Amino acid sequence: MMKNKNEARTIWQGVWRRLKKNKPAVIGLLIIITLILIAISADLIINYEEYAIKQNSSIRLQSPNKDHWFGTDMYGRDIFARIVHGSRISLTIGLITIALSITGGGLIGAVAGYYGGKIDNILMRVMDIFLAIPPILLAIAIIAAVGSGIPNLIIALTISGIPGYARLFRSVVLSLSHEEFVEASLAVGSSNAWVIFKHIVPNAIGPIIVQATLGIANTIIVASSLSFIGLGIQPPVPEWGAMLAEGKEFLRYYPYIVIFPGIAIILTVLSLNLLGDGLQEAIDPRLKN
Amino acid sequence: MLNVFLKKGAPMDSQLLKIKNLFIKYETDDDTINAVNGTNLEIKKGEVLGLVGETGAGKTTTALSVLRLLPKNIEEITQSEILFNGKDLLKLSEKEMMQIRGNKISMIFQDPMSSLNPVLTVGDQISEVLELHNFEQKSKEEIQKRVDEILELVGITPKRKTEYPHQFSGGMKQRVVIAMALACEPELLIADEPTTALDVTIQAQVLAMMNDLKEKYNTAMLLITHDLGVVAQMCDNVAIMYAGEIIEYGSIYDIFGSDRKHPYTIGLFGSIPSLTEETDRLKPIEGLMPEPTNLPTGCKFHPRCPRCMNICETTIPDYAEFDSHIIKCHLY
Amino acid sequence: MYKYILKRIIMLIPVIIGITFIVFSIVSFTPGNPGRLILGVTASEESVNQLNEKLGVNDPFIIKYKNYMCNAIKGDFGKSYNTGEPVLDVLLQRFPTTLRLAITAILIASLVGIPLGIISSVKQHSFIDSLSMISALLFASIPGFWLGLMLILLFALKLGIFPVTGDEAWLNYVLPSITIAAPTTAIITRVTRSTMLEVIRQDYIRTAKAKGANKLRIIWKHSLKNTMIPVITIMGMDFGYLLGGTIIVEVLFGMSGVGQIMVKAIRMKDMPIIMASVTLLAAIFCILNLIVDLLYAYIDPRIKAMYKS
Repeated sequence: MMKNKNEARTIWQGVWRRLKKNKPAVIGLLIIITLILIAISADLIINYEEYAIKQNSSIRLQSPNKDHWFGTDMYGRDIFARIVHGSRISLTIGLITIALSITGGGLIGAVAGYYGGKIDNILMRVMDIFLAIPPILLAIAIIAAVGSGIPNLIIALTISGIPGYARLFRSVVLSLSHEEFVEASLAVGSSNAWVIFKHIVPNAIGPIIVQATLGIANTIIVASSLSFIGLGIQPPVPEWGAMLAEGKEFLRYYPYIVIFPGIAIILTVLSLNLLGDGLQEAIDPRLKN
Repeated sequence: MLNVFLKKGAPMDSQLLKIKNLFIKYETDDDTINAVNGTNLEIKKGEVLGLVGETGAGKTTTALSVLRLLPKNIEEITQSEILFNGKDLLKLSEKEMMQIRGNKISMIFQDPMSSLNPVLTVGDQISEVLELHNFEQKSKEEIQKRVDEILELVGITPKRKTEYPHQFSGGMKQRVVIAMALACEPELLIADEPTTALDVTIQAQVLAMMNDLKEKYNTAMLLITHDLGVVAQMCDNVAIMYAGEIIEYGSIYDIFGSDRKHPYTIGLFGSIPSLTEETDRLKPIEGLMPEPTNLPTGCKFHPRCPRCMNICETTIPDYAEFDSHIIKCHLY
Repeated sequence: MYKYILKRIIMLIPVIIGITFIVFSIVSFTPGNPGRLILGVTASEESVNQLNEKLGVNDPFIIKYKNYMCNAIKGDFGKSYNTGEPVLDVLLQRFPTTLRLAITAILIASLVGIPLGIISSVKQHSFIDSLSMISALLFASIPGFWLGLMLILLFALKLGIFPVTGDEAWLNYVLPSITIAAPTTAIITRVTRSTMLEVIRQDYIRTAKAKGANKLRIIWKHSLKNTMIPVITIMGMDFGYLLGGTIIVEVLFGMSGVGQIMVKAIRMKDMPIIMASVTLLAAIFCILNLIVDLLYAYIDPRIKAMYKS
């Protein structure tokens, strides 16, 4: 329970210290940072137009070699280039979706949890009905309506994520608002907004960061799955899932077209999962004996 | 290392439990924890021994070690012995220990709310201990009869044996726990703060019931508590534990009545509010019990002792004997 | 107890109605010209408009919804814009395949995940523990469609043991079910293990040990039921992803289930099929969750007591 800035700082120091001890989590963190750097500097690494997009049938379907580290696909495009540029897409979609979902779901859930009563009832009833539809299905339905493409995919995934975060925020706020330090703060005359920002948010941030990290991992899998069945991002955009969709015809004799994008997804998701798990243990350490 | 306890030991045939020189320490990532440091205890058949001390003194660890219920990363020094009817429990195999647990020696714990399995009926949990130790090959009906019998003895109607723990109140739950512990008529019952979690009125009822059962079955008891009132009500002898060792031992007349007492014991009595005397303030003992990772040299109580002398800081005191009353202090 | 079950089933109905409303609202945003789709490119503008008017395309939203629901109660879910078949027939025909896939996946996940989780918790820090935890983490991070492709590559294409696509024989269901089950199995293993570790630390387990119970009895009689309670809850929460996986797998392995036709219908803007298949899949999800809730009450006497009234 944090009372002031200094205490908050030491809590985060403690979290960082414990996280550092967790080797898999650190590996995950390093991998994700590397991937983010790759995504940011994608254009510096390898040229987009020339290698990732331009079709060149003379060099098509080459196995991995020294010119094309991951080989070339059925249109002669360099797979390494496509994967590097694809990282931008996946990470961007993941981050934006989660950021929007958390904001939207957070507002709904926090309001419901804090004010309670009728507001809570109505909001949660609506959320519950949305939650009765599996998130992937909801996303598919939205895409059915608005069509595919990056912005639409983000909208669909955001909306399907909001009910879950609304529930999470609501339960966090509910459990915290009955803690004594909140009552004490209200008793000395703090306004509701002050209490929310000064007391509730800092304590709630830990679990939310964990859920966000795992949420990004999950979003990346769902986004690539949707692209795979043609409902997310369409080729020629080098989204990893879409690459797999294109490559599946050539699975038997040119499996590398499918293997490399898959490994890229796995690496990204795995590192996020390791980091998320590590954060969870670091923020809420449990006795391990 | 003192053989006082051995010398004063009762004739062998009435001696039930004898803990000799118990040392328990375990290693964690950061430190070594010296939980128990040379404890000696003895209980005769049918005797109730109170084990008194503050939280962290090592009482529960000692009790758990009798039934070998300590977690596996515990190290015990090989000089220790726990003799039960002459056999050293520390040397028995796990299989042999399982036959003793619940059967010859039973243990009940502090919190009745969590001691019972929520998904099993109360009757099931009691009959289980009978089935586990069914040497006489009793039939199912006979076992159920015994379950009914023991439930009645603890004051619960046998009809309720098909109910689940959440349907019972705290005091009733503890009665069920006691019923489970006594179903096989053990020779020794170890009770770790059995009434601490209960309301005071319920406490009195449960203690009275335990007393009746003790009379009926002549069960010996190791009663762990920090409540001197419970000790006065139930116990024949008392051992006072501090920082993993026994610092005073005697009958309740010795401990409650004698003028000679270990300074810690004096402090314990002094911190109780009295109904008869008028005082301005309670006299708690200053300071805290030392961390088991960082024990003081010499007499372990010396940093807090109001009568500390120079010798107390350097030398571990001997046991001073006054008939049945034994005190480990330089003052004597 | 049966009254409770009946009550829960009845409470499902408003939920499903709510779902139809949401899905209908979303799907009605779909741009498209049903009349044109049905009659084809060559038909005249006039006949297309006539058909659209007949289908109620230009009606206000509420009227459209009301008409749809009134028909639905009678069993008429419309006709496919593409093939003209009654939607009900299409779905009934494909429903068993989807159900078979989902149930097989759930069975695989439980029968592999739960024992593995228990063994890992009992032999904590052993080789098998590390192996299963690493595998669990890995399989939770592998997208289903990639796993499916790899399985096809190895077992169907290279080794020829299983067929690649289709759903005629039970052999066809093996690779798809494993693909769907993999992430769920991973989660079940991890949750079973961590729950079991917590359960073992509980006071009532210490009581059981003090009674002289051996390890096997403690696991089977004292721990298992208590462990299953959170595990089943998590499984219920995972069903959503399980269904998502089923949809993907149906497309990948070319199996004629509800998911496959739904995806096709989306591409073709075949509204009646989209509407009905999404609702059906959502309804399956709700029913599966209901079963989980009932199982919950069956295992935990505290919950059972709450609902006996």
